[in-house]
Amino acid sequence: MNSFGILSLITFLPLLGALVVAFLPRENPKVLRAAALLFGLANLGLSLLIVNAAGTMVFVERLHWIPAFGVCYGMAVDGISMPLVILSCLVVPIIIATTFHVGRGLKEYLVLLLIMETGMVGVFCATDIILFYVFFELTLVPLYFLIGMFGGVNRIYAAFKFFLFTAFGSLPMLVAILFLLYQHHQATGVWSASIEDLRALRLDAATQNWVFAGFALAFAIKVPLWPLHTWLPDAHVQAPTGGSIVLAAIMLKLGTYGFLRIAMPLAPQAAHSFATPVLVLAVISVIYGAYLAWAQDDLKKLVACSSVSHMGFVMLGLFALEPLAARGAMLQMLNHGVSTGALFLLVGCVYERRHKRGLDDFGGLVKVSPALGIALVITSLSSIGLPGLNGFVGELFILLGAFKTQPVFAILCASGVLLGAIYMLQMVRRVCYGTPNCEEAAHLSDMSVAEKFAFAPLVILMFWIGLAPGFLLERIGPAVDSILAALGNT
Amino acid sequence: MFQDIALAGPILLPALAALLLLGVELLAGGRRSQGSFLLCALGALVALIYTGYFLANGRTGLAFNGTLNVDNTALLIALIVHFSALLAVLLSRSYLAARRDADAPEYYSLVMAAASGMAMLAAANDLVNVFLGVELMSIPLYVLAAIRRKSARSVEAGLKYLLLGAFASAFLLFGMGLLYGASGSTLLSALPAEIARLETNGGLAAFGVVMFLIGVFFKVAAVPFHMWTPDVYEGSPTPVTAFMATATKAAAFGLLLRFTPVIATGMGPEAGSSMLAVIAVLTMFVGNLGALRQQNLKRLLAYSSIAHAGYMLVGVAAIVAEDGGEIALTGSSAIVFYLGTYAAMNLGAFGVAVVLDRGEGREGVNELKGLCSERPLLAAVMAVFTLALAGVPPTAGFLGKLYVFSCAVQARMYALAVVAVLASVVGLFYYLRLILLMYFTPREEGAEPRLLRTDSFLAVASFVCAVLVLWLGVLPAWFVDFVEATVRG
Repeated sequence: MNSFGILSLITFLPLLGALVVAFLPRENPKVLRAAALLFGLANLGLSLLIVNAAGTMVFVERLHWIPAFGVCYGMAVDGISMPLVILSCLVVPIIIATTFHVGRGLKEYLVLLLIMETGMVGVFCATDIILFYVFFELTLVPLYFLIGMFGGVNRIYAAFKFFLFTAFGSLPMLVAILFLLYQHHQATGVWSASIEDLRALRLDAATQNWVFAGFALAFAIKVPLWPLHTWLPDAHVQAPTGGSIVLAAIMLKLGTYGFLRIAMPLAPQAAHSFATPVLVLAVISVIYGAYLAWAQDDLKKLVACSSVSHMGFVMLGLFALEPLAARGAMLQMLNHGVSTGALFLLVGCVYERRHKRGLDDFGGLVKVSPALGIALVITSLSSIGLPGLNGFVGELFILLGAFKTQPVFAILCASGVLLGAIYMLQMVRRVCYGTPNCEEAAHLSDMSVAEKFAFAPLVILMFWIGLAPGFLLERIGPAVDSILAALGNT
Repeated sequence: MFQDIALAGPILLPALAALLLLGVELLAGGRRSQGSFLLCALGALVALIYTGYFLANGRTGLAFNGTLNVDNTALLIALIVHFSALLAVLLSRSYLAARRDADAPEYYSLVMAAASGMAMLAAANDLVNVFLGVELMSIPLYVLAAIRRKSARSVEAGLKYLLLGAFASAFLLFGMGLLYGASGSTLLSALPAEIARLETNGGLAAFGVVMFLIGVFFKVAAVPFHMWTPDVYEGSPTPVTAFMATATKAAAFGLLLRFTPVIATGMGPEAGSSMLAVIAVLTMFVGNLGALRQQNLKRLLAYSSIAHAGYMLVGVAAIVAEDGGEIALTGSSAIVFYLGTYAAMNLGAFGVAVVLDRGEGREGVNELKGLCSERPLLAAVMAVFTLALAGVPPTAGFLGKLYVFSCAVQARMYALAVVAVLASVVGLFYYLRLILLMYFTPREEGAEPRLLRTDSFLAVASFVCAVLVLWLGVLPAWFVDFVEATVRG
């Protein structure tokens, strides 16, 4: 039993930050923002210490939590969770740095954001399934409040729908978890909730199917897979910029991460037998999401719908059950986090200036405010998957891998790439090029220094992953391989 | 003899306090003072500490020729009952200060008398004592429900409770008679063996069990015997409602836990657990669906308490299904854990209701509107209670559900576990609505400013509940271990 360590620190430092911010006077927004930013950046710095996690679980912490059920407070990271942890720690300070539009309630906003960070980091570090579940749910509550308190006109409906959809999914997961714990107790006579121990269970095929179904529902809603995606456009459109960024960059990854870390290893046979139905849904998500995005006239809705399409791609990578594709899926999770997070950030910037988000409310953005316009162009290209930028590597890996095992699905999904280029480029054409559509659109201020600073790390990541993906692949690869190896053996 | 009296302390101490309080009120001659409040709080506190001391030192045993079985479960239940009584009394002070009409001299005395009955119910090992406990618990509650004599609602609540409660007692007595006929014994612990020995009676024992259970179901507000709950909870003074919702449930479930072996032998594990499972499912869904449309906070909490009884019945069904196995112990621990955490969060929520009410009958959920901007701390505390009632981690409510539902899984009642989980999803709707009102909806334009007064006793009570709910949710090990260890003896 190891004691508290670096992972606990990364997880709970934001919570401490939330407490500190909660006790600061609300009259001085600068102090509030500075304090929150300090905690966010400190946590980002700390999170870089785990950057070398690769094939095996490192920084292991294990403490008894509820001994009667064998539930432990178990934390560790490997090459799969490391990049997601760091991404979570990166996204939060970026959001904090761009909270200038939040007027009243800034304090609550920052507190919720920091609590959110605790949940997000915790969920990726947890090696105990009950702990995972607790963090999984913990991320839900602050985001619910963020959307409900700071969202747009329909925020209450969106927050409600978001919470209910996710909770509806995660409760059957709870039954599956309880069932697994009980099976482990039956098989070994000991209670244990460690994912590692539960993986060692040999369940028969029918039981595995049930367990997998329980988990899959929860994760498919989070991803979201068609037809469970309907909460996403609502939540994204109504959420404040920060909420959208967190949702796109991190929350959706909980679904795919859950498949990779929990559902597939715990029910390996079922992962094979469910592959085809899941892939069908993934293909539908890719194509349907792309068409949805194409039809949107609202910038934020467009980005939200493109998320459905992109996450379908990640699912293709995971359920192709092929090492290359799985690497691509992991990369694409990060890419989607970076690109779509950046897109929501930019949409937020644009919206603050114009208080409109329609594709036809702008025009000539590159001329009017060059930095903002160019940032939007670069991010869109990264989202499309232009070679040299991050999206390309992920998509390439997924498609290369999937062609080996699932050629039909791969071909179908490849059409999604084309559609992605269509809707993104027409968005860029309408917003960034041409002439300003009206007087207001011709006089938009350019990015502020804070916005540039907030955006810079994301654009650096886009180029870095695009040009030198080796650094991440070295770390993701072994971890993904060990999970796939366990899947193949059954 | 002295040993017996010492063991019965958790029952006798509140009874003593009740008598003392009556005497004090008599001597005070109608002059209202803080005296009886303090004396009552002290009485509840002493009973609480006494019970805790016995529990910590493992002072358990049979008393009065085995008619009282003061075992660890009984002591745990008594602990919850006295905790609820203490907190309800703390809530009462500001409530009674604002509502003079409820401030009858016998108020505090009745609370203590009911607590005594509840503690007795939890320890009763003889059918006669069960009945004594039920009546000692119920009669003071009938009076307390109707204590605001000038309020039609309160009187209606008292009358309804009395009438239906009397029916329930009749069923209970009938069941007892049948059980006695089927076994020739009134000793609860001897019933299963005797019933099994005199198997010739056919359906007699089963019928007796069902009648007995109907009586108990009335008390825990299980569907279809829940009809009285919303009206009574709404009409009664809020602290009394809080006390009824938590302590009555604890006592009745204590009885039910002791009665599970009788259910299993009288009806057979299969039939008994299926019946309990059906009742549990109905109770969860009727409670949760009924709460959806409520506009009155107390009514909403009443339906929510019905739903929670349903969740706990899931555990009871699991125990009966596995008659006597390992699950009897885990199940009992789970239910006791649930009762304890439920008491904390529910008393807390009713405490907030008392604050919002201000003695003016403001009980609508709309009173919660915009609370977060006016009273952030109060809103935060209420949010904790609401999320706990909804069973969202990391609150104690989540662990309670986890614990109880895992019993259903262990008893291989997977369908029941899934249904229970679905019912919890339905519950989310109305719990979230409360949060939504507090945090997302501003108050109406032109609504007069709220002058919320919280006296320090009420504040302490709510704070203790909030701390417990979070503490038991984040670091539950000590409490789980304590409950498991004590239930296992």
